[in-house]
Amino acid sequence: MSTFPEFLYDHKTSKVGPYPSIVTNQLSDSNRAILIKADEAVVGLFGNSIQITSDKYTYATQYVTQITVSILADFNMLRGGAVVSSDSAAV
Amino acid sequence: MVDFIVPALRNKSAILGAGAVILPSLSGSNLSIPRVSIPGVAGSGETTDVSIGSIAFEQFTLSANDYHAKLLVSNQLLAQAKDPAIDAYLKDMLIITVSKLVDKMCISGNGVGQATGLTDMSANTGTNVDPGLLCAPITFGGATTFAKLPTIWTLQISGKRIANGLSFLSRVPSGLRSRS
Repeated sequence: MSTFPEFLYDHKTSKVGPYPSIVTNQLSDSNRAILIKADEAVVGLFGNSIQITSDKYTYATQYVTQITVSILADFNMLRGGAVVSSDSAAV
Repeated sequence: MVDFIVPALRNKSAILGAGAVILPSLSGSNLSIPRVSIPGVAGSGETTDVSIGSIAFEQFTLSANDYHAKLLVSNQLLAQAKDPAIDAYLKDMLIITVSKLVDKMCISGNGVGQATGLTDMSANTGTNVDPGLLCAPITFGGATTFAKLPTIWTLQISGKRIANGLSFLSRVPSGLRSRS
């Protein structure tokens, strides 16, 4: 905003307008924003586990251990209408 | 372990922090969940019968997609993990790694060998209202102002305004972080 000394994203409250805003780098750089009623989003974890594997051999000569984290998961919306996004330079 | 890690993930993951539902104990089989695709709606006069159109349902399926992330940690650091601070640092790094996996899946997944994230899900167009599809994206066509913001949060969705439990997910460019 060029004429008003206030930002849409309020760093003091982490809100945009009345709603909490969570910053994530999974959105593109085009200032895109998503307004979501997240309790209608479903994350399914399969196998009742998050696997953590420690491999001290692959990088043994560097004296480094490789840790691999694996999950079996999926995601969807119970109701897609609970999501609206801006599709270009916006919020 | 899932019982332990899920609460920790909510503090780190954007989508889980916003309140997404987690089904943590699915078996190896796919899970199909029904949802309304065409709502039944009708209007009528004051004393006439209401003729409600058919409600149509569809299913979406949760299936097991593999997600992996790798960390490289020096053996020297691991050897010093008896120090509680280093131990906490390593655990924190693991939690952040898993939360990044979850956010990537839910927000930016492209649906090819992985889940379709919010940015790639199909959306309604024009006046079409399919509750299973996302709301039509909004283009503000220029710099956003406070006056324009209500456009995005006063959308009428399936005739019902959603108001509670909403969160923005955004990528705030560094230029907007005004605190020095």
